[in-house]
Amino acid sequence: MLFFKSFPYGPNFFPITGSSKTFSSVPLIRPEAEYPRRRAAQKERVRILYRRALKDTLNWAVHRHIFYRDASDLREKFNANQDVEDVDRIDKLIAHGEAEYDKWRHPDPYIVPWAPGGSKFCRNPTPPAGIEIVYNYGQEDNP
Amino acid sequence: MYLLIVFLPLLGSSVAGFFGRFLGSEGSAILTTTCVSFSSILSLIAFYEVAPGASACYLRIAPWISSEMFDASWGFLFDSPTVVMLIVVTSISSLVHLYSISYMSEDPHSPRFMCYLSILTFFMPMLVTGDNSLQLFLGWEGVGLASYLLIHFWFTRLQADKAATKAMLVNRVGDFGLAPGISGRFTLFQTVDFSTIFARASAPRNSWISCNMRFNAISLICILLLIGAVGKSAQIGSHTWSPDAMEGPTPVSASIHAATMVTAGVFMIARCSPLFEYPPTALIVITSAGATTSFLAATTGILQNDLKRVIAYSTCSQLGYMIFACGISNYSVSVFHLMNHAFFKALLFLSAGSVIHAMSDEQDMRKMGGLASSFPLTYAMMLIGSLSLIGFPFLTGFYSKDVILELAYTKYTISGNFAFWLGSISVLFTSYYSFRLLFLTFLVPTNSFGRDISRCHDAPIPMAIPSILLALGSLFVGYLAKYLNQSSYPNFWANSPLVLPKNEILAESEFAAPTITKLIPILFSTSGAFVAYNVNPVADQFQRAFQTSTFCNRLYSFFNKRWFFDQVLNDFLVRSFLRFGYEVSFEALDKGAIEILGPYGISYTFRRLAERISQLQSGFVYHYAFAMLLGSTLFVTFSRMWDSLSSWVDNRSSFILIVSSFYTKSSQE
Repeated sequence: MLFFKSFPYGPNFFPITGSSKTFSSVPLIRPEAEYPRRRAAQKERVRILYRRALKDTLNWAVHRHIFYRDASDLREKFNANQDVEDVDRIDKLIAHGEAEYDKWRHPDPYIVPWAPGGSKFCRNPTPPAGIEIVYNYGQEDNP
Repeated sequence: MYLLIVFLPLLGSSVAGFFGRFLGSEGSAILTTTCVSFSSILSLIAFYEVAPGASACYLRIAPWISSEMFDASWGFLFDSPTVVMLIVVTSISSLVHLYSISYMSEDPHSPRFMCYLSILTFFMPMLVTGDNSLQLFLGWEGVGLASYLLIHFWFTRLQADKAATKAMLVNRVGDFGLAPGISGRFTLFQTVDFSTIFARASAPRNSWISCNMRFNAISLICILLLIGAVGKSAQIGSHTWSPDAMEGPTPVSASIHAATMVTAGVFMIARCSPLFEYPPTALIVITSAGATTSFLAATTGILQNDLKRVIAYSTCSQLGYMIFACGISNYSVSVFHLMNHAFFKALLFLSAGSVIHAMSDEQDMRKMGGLASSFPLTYAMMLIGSLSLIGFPFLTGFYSKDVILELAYTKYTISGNFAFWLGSISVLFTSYYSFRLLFLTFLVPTNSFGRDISRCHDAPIPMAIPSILLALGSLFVGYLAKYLNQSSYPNFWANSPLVLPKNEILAESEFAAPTITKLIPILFSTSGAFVAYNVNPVADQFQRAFQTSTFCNRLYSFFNKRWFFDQVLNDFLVRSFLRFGYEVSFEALDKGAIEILGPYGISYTFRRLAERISQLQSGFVYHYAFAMLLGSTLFVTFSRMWDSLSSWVDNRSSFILIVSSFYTKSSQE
């Protein structure tokens, strides 16, 4: 995952009292700035989870009419929790969603042929500059 | 003329390989295609002379190995199974060469590709025309090499490297059975010549008893040969290389995995039929292996999403049919199915290649659809190939596939029944994945990208002509050559596939089977088509079940991931063998022998010994006093008690004790 799952400064961090347990090299962060930072991180996690789940839905639902229905169901699942404000609850919901995604993930996802893992990746790569491929040796004057 | 059939492809390959740079892409392609086409025409003439003309040809060219008892020569045997195989190999190969002219025209390494294709077309006739085991083994290894070179063609791809290495190594595992089988035959018969071995096949009675069971030598040899066939023909246990081999270009798949290399195992069993007929145990093992493979491959193919992998698993499944047909002692029917299968499978692969080529190298069926109107010719070819594959009545596949199932039933043995039911269920799955392929690729509303649809076009003439010829073969070869099946033309096969009278059921199976068993394949085919229609374009409940039911999801993963064979083999076998191969055989033995026994090793050992010995000079007087006391005690003891101790004490043990003391850790460390 792109995001660390736990608060980076650990449970023993007391920014107000300036306890000796805090890291001396880490600047103190005020609690009122922590909430927007956490919410921004959660928004990014949700965005990534939604995109991956939508692409995975397309792996399963090959036909368009099935995909549209499944995509709508997926969107409704995300929209059902869009008004939750408690950051801890949001973290739990995201973790649950990621676990669900891992559980139902397609074993053979579609990969674009020229992307890493695709069927055409690294096939006849472009030669370095200065190298010319001659298809008909000796007949360069007769294209 | 006969030798030209074998050596013309070698000529084309050599010239294209060494002078391809000067000939260019077109020149190499034209030369190799011409050579293989001539070889194909000559093989037709040879077929006419040998088979209907009942005039087999034996050519002994030169001695190869002549060492007292071991005598192998360069000899070529052209009998009925050989000429049937030659027609299949050379005709399919020539059509694939013609197809590749257009398919690989944009590839910068086209001359190398044509060279490799021709090398394959040389080694396969070497395999089928060999009159002794050693020459067969030469061809066997040669087609393995050719498959490595062809799968590895796009060597800049890591997956292609892995797939080619896997194919080579899995074939090598099979060769680990074949080579001892050949050695065993030599041990038993003191020759590697086929005619001598087959003439004396009934003679050996060698056996031994272990764990209260009797093992016959001939059974063991046949099972070892079967292991070779399992590796080459992608049977259960050694089938993992076949779908990965789709990394190679599509003409490679059509040539190797439809018609040429994978049929080598089936041909070897048919060629050695006089040996296989005698041990009933080996025949049961062959039947079980073939039936299990056909079922395994069919179940795996139903949930694959890659177009070529579906056809690859179809090939595995049909090879299972051929193997279990050999197991029920119907070698002629097996070779007949081999011939029919070559035509419709090559057609399927070439049609798939047309689709992939037109769709900008897209291979996933989930991103196709609606292509019937864009590629009408390719769709027609694919439809003909699929109908022939599922055994649609009176098409090519029908004449061999249904006969095999009928024979399995009328064998009236447990193994025969096992093969019949597994084969029949495989028919259902075969029909399902064939129609699934057609629906997803051609008939359902399009799911592909606009850029692919806007650029797509049907196959050009050089790609269309081979497809049309193969389609004609898929339609009519079965009917025209159905007499290959029948015992009313015994002179066709002569004695080549030998069937003992107690195993012969071909003549009466038509009347011994109840009508319902003859209808089961067509009923199952129809059911499979019906289920495919309902699952894929119409009903969506199955797809929803894969996302909501844990059991269905796991079943999907189980079949999609090929029964987790790769994972189990990799985790439990491959890793330990790779570790052994690197740490023991390479680091310790190959490299280690030079490092430990060479100059570096000797200097290191003596330096270490000197360091350890120097530690004896500790500088403490009581250490020296103790050493003197110990030495004098031992001296007195041994000198006094030598008479009684001498019979118990080995002088060498004292040397070992002294040397080992240098390697024990001292307390100071």
